[in-house]
Amino acid sequence: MRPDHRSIQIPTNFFSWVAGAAILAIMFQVVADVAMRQIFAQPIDGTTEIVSFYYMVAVTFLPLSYVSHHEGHIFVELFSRGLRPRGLAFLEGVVGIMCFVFVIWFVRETWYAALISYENNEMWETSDDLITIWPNRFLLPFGMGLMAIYLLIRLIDDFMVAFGRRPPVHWE
Amino acid sequence: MTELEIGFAGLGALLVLIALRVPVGFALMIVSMFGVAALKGWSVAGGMLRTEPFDFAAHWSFSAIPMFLLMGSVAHHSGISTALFRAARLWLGGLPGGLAVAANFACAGFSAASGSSTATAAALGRISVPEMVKAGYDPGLATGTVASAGTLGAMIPPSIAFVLYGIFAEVSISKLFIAGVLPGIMTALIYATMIIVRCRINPSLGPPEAVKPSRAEKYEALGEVWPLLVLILTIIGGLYGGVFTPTEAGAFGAFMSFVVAFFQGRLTITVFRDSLFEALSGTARIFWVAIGAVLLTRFLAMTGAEVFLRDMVGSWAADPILLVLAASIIYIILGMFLDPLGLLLITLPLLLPMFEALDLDLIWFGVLVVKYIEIGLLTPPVGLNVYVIKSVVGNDISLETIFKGVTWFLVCEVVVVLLLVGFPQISLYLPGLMN
Repeated sequence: MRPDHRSIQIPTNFFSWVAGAAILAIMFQVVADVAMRQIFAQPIDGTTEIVSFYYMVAVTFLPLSYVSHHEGHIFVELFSRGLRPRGLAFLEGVVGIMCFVFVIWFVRETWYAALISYENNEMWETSDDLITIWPNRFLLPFGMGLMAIYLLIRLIDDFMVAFGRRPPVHWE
Repeated sequence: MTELEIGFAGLGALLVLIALRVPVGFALMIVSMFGVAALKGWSVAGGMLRTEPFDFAAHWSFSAIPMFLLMGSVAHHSGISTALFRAARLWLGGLPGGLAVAANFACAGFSAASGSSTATAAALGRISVPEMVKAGYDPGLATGTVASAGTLGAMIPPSIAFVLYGIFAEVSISKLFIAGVLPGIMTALIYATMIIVRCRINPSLGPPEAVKPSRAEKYEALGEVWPLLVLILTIIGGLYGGVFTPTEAGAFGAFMSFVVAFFQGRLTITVFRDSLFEALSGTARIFWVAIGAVLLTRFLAMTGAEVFLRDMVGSWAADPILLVLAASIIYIILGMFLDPLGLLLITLPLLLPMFEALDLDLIWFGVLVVKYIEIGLLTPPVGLNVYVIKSVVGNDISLETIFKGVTWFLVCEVVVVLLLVGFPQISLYLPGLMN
């Protein structure tokens, strides 16, 4: 399977659209909250908590696979600029293994955290209510899990390029 | 190994990983978690991974970042940047180097809608550099102007760099935004003066526009940008007057950008989708690095590196200027190699305790840090804005020409830094009035 295969791109795009909806939701809810506060002196209860615990978590973790595919992670090209395509692919493969192993650990820990949160029915207190926040704990292992799958596919592809089994391709 | 030695070994490992092309966010996280595991065991490190990233992302103040990114993306994709450059060109084109001056002020104007330097450089670079080259401008001046003026995106509010700095330094983001106004305008004016003087001495660098626009044309061009001007004034005024928090200002700005684009007939499906995904991608990318920086901060706190550095400063830096000088050198050197966000987030955990120990104003320091980050965007070998412009111009203009072109702007930056260090009131006057 190659990094642009639809079986990885479909969930990647789906997660990105959900995160996109979350960005728009931040915008609409905050504008509505300001308008209600300024005009009717009655802000929307729980805006801070809903934006923070729901929308922001979705915006942060769900697009990670999309960012990985679109070369969006910030890196510094210092010593690698002079490398030939196969040498660069090998380096990226090695870096990919490192990142993949770390993300798997990250997914494992956040999955446990989400399960504990679910079992305890974790909630957060707003000014006059309680909001349930455990569902959004699962967005971390979901978002990073998809990124881990992408990283694995990508690093296999990098090594195939490095060992001359495939020509180098710029994925985007 | 002592805890302190593990801390410094971790920092060394971090630089090695970054140099080996490990993405900055991953490098920060990997080093921090292995460092914590070495100090306290794997269960403590795992426990941090369970809680810290979620707690960090679920942060109200951070929601300003996707909002400002969205506002800038919509403004660009819906053609506001083009309209800005057109208006600036008609009004300033008659000056020596007029197109470059126009590009400079268009960047300053767009910076007030965009919180990112690279986004500002990319937006105006696509529009103004080809126009300048077509008009016979020196390629170095044309590209250097936009690469350098693009850095104003980090200084003129709204600024992503200020949001991140404000959260890490625990100072008011609104005050930081307002503190960036005068230094940003001052930088744009100094750039413009340098361009005009150079082009007056050597007109072949940037010949004035041959055709003089009519007054009607000039006012018509302003008609296209007035919604942006109103938007900028509302946001800055709202922050200054305490009506908006930064998140509210960002949400309002993004919403109004959509409204303006809609009423100007520019809000197509493509514009909507591209703007949304650009903002999304930028947010996730920034947060991934920021989560790494938080983990690094926790790791360094466990090693006692912050206390060590604070004590070290207490023993030799009786004069705060020495600390500012040391910080300047650190930022200029690291800025040559690190991306701006990584630079900001890696250095803050180390430098903030030192500045706090000497009781220096953290708003003033924030302006200086952002200024150093701007400089880092222009210095080789990793001058990000230069690469942005290079990607815009393709093979027509060499990287060396662009780096040569920004040299004059770096000289201006030296003047700006000296003014900011010598006269802290440039940064602190407006925030002082907010009280």
